[in-house]
Amino acid sequence: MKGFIILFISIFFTYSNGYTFLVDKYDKEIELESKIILNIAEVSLHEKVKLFIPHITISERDVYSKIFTLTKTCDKSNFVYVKTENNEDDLCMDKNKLYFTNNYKKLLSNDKYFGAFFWSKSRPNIVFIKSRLNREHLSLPQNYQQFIEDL
Amino acid sequence: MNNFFFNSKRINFLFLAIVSCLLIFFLFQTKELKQKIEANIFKVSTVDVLSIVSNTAKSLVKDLSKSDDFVKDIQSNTLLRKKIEEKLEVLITKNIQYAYILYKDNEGIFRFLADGSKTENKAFLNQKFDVDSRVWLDVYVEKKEILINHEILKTLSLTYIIPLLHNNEVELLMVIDFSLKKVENINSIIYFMQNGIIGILVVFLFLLVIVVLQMLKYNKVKKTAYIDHLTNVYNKNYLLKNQNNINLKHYSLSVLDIDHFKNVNDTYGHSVGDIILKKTAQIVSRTLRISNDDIVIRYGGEEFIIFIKKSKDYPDISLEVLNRILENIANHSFLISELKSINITVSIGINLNPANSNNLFEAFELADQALYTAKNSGRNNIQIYQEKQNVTC
Repeated sequence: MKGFIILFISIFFTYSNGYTFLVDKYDKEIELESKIILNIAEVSLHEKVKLFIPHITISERDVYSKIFTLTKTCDKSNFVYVKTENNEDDLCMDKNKLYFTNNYKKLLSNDKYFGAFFWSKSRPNIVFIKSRLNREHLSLPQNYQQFIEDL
Repeated sequence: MNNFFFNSKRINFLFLAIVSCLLIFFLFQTKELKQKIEANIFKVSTVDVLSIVSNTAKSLVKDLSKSDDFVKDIQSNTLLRKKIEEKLEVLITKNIQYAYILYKDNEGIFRFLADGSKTENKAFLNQKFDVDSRVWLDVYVEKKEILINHEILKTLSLTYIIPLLHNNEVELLMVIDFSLKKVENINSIIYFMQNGIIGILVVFLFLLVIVVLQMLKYNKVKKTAYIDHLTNVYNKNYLLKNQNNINLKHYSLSVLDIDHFKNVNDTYGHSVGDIILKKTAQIVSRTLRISNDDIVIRYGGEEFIIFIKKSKDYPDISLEVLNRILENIANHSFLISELKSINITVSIGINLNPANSNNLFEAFELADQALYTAKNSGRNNIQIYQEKQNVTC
């Protein structure tokens, strides 16, 4: 009987990965994204990063709060990362903030964003716009130079 | 316990070791087999697709045959770009997620020139594209198609890169990204096969465990049948069973009998007799322990048969061992109650060359004759059987 229970538990644990849909799925993609955003925010700002993500999801909050100080409103933040497709152009007009997005189209169409991190053909891509970096008086380290575009 | 059971344990261990090695070998073979099957299935299932893609690439080069600068012409000619994108769009299926054309700018950055994707995922003209590996640059050197197997990317499985050459130089890259579905379908077949093989191995292992358990059980029962419960040495059954297995050329055969054992039983009772038998067997076994090949058998009553392995380097070993047994028993005080102990002696007859007899029992008879002489010579001594006469040791 003891052997049967051990066997049953072993099989159950071996295949437990298949049942993770029963709980909130931990998204590796969000984790990777959060680390990249942390790196970008840290090289862009010379103070402690206070991040605001409009319409943040629960799983994003769980992942981001581990490495960021998240703010509930845009006013209290110094780095705004806009992920939604919604029109956030009127959001938080304060000029002493850095705006970043996950949408390349948004980056091209709205000059308040100084850069974007997005998935292109399922691969992570980063773009910074040179003129906007200059406007914000941002100078990125050497390893970020390959991502700067002169658009 | 030596000889027979020792050997069977060794055989069991050897058997288990061989079977374990075989199982490990099969397990590794399964892994290797999986890789071979995987490679072959990939090859078979992608060969047609890759041929179609290669033909499309050739067709694109043909379309650009009049062009002096592929990049500039595609950038400036919207109609040409649209035509190329239509050709790329045809390639996109359930398994091919993306089809696009890249160029490398003067700073070595890859940029989109045409994209077969629909509006939502469509890349802009000249949009920067961060490649995920240095292999992409190798295509410019090798000037040959390359297949990249993705292990990190979440939704892509394979990327097929075809260089589009102009004046024997790579000018553009045509790229096809296979979705995970392709690999998932292939993997489901492979996992099914792999699980089948592992299942067979598990069933085999299960049966093997049952066989081993049965063997151990059988050995235990066999051991019980061949061991004397009182003295814990072999019994007569063992001798009968192995009479043909014991090579008499390698042993001397001795018969040991406890002197006046009947008197001990009559005077102190059978329980004391049992103590004497048990202790005597212990002393004999302990004295013989220097050589694991020696065999002690309780032949019956107070009589023991001792096979002592001969030594080429030490011809007198049998007599020396028997002398030690004789002395050890004679010098031992057999405790028969909390306060009382008695001394006993044994008589021993030895046949130094049992192999000269026709069989074990004839050899035993000769040793028994020597024992008879020992008994008649005042007991507590060893007699050697020699043809027509016994020699006192």
